[in-house]
Amino acid sequence: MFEHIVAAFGLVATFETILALAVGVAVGVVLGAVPGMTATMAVGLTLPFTFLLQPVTGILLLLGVYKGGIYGGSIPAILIKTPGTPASSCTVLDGYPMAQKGQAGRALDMALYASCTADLISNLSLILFAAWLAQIALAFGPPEYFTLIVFSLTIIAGVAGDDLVKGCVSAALGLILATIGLDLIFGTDRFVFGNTSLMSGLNFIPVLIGLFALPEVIDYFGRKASARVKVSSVGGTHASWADYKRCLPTIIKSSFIGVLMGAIPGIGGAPSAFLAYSEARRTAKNRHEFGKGAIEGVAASEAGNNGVAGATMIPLLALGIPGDVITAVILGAFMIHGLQPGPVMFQNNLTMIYALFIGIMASSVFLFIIGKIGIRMFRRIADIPKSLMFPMVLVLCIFGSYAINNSMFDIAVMLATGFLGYFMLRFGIPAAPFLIAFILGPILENTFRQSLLMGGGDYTIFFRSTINWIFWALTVGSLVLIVYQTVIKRRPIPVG
Amino acid sequence: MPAISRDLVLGLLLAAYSLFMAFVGIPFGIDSPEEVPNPALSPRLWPDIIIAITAFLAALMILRATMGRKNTDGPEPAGSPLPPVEEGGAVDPTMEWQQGRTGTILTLVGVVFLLLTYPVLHVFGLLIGSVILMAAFSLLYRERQWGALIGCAVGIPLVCYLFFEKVANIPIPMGLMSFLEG
Repeated sequence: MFEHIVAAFGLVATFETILALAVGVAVGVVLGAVPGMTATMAVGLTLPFTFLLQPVTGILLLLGVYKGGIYGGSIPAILIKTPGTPASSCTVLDGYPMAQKGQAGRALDMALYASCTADLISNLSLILFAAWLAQIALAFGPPEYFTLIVFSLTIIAGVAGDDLVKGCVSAALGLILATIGLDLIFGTDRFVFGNTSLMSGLNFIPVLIGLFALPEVIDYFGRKASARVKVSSVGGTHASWADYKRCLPTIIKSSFIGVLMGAIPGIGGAPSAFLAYSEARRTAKNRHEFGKGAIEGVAASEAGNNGVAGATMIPLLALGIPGDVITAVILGAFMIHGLQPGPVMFQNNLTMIYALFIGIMASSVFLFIIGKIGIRMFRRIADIPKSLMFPMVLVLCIFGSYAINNSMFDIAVMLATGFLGYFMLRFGIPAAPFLIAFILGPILENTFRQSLLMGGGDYTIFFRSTINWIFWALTVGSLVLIVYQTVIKRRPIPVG
Repeated sequence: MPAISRDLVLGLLLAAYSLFMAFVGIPFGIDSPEEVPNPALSPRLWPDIIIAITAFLAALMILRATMGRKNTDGPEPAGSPLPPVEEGGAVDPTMEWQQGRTGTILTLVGVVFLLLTYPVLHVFGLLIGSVILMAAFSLLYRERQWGALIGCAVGIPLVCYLFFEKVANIPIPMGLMSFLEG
C-alpha cells in the first residue's frame, strides 16, 4: 500500500496536474457563476480538452471544474438572487437578503468556507468508504450488477424533475439510443442502416453536449432580458472567525447530509441543499431569522450541496455506477482514457485510485485559495452578455464534438441530440435520466444477457442471491417513495 | 399550449413512436440471425423490452392526461424566484419569454439557423464556419456592441482552432478554405 501512495504522489505532484487542478477549479467557478450555465455543461465542455492530458490530470481537471462549478453557483445566488447552478437554489433564500443588507461579502465568505469544509468532509468520506464498498462489490456478478443498475436508474428517473413518468420516458429514450451500433454477441447491425459511422454506436460526448448545452442556446432565441438586473456590491464586510465557529456545527451536520444524499445514486446537490437548509432551520435557535438573511442559512445550503461532490464519486469509483449526471460525464472521461472504474480498478490500478484521492483533497485547497482571491472579480461574471456567451458555447460544442473522433458526423449527432433535448425541454422531460441511461444502457443490457446465459434463459436468476433481493427491495421502496411524493403535495419553503 | 393538452400530445407522440419502432424500426433496423439458440441472445430482445416499457409509459401518460390531471412541468414562468432543481439543466430566471407569438417565431428562426450550422461548417470548415456562426448568432441574439461582437466572433474560434490544431494535434477541417492550410 505504501508504495502505491508514493507512486500516487508522484502522479499528482507534477506541474501539469497541479496546474490542471487550479485551472479546473477557476474555470468551474467562472462558468458556475454564470446564470444559464450549469456545472454539467462546464464539465461537458471541458471534457474534450482533456484528450491530450494524462488520465489522472484529465480527470482531476474535470473534478476541479465540477467542484468549482458547484461553489460558483453561489456567487450570483447571493449577488443577483439568481443561482448559477440548480444546486445553489437554496443559497438564494438567505444569501440575497444578506446582500440587500450590505453584507454580500460576508455571505460570499461564508459560502466559500462552508463549501470548502463540506468538500473536505465529503472527500474524506469518499476515501474511507469507496474502498470498503469496492470490496463488497467484488462479490457482485452480472445478476447483481443488473439489479443495482435498475435501482440506480429508478432513483434517477424519479428524482430528476417532478414527474416520475416523464423521468422514466427520458430513461427509456436514452436506453434505446444506446442500442445503436453492433450487437454485442452476434455483431449484427442495430439501427445502423448501412452508415459505417453508426457501427460503433453514438459517442456519448456529442450526445452530452447536444443534450445539455444546445437546448439553452435554442431556448435563448425566444427570450429577452427581464428588468435590469441589479448586481449587489460585495462591500467591505467579511465573515469573521466567530461567524465560522458559530456556523461550524451547522456546516458539519449539513455536510454529512450532503454525503449521505450524494452516496445514493440520483439524488444530487439541489435536494441535498434544501434538506440541509430545512434541518438547520428546524433546529436553529434563531429560526425566525431564516429567509431574512441568516448566515447559518447560507452555511447550511452551501455545505449541503458541496457535501455531495465527493460522495457522488463513491458509487462511481467503487461500483462503476455514476451517482449523478456529472459523475456520468466523469465516467465517460474514465472510459475515454481507457480506464474502467469499479472494484477491479481497486485491485489492478490502486496507484490511480490513490492519485485521485490525493488530487481530490488538493482540490479543496485550491477551491479555498481561488475562491478567496476571486470573490471581488467574480461578481463581474454575472454581467457577461448572453448574446455573446451562448454563441461561444455553440462554438465550443462544435470543436469539442469534432475533436473526439475527428469526425463531422459527431457534430451532426450533437445537433440532432440538441434538437431532441430542446423537444424534451419544451415537454418537461428531464434530460438527466436520458444521459445516465444512455451511459448505463450497454452495461445494463450486457449484464442482463450474461445473466440469462448463466441461468440458461431462466429469469429467476435475478432473484437467487441475497444481494439481488436487497436491490429489488430498494428499487420497490424508492418507487413507492417517489410515487408517494408525487401524489402528496409538498409544502413549499417560504421565500423571505 | 395548456399543460394538460401538452401531456396528451406527448403521450400520443410516444405511442406513435412505440408503434413505429415495434412494427417498423426494430424489424427493419435490427439484423437478427435466423436461428437464435437462446432468446437471451437475440439482438432484438433488449430493444423490444425498452419499446414495450415506452408504450406502457405512453399509455399511462395518455390516461393521466385524459383524466384531467394537471401537470406543471416545463420551463419555469418568468419571475419565478427559483429555477427547476433538475441537475444538469437550468432555466435562467433573468431571461423572460417574449410576449405573444414573438418568442415562438424567434425560436423557429433560431432553429432554422441551427439547422444551417452543419452545411456552413461542411462548406467553410470549422474555423471560418465558426466565425460566421458566432457572428450570425450574436446578431440574432440582438448583440449590438460591434467591437465585442467582432472580437468574440473572430477570437473564440481562433483560440479553439489553435488549441486543437497546434496544441492537441487534432487536424481541423477547413472545408473550401483548405488552401489556408498550405
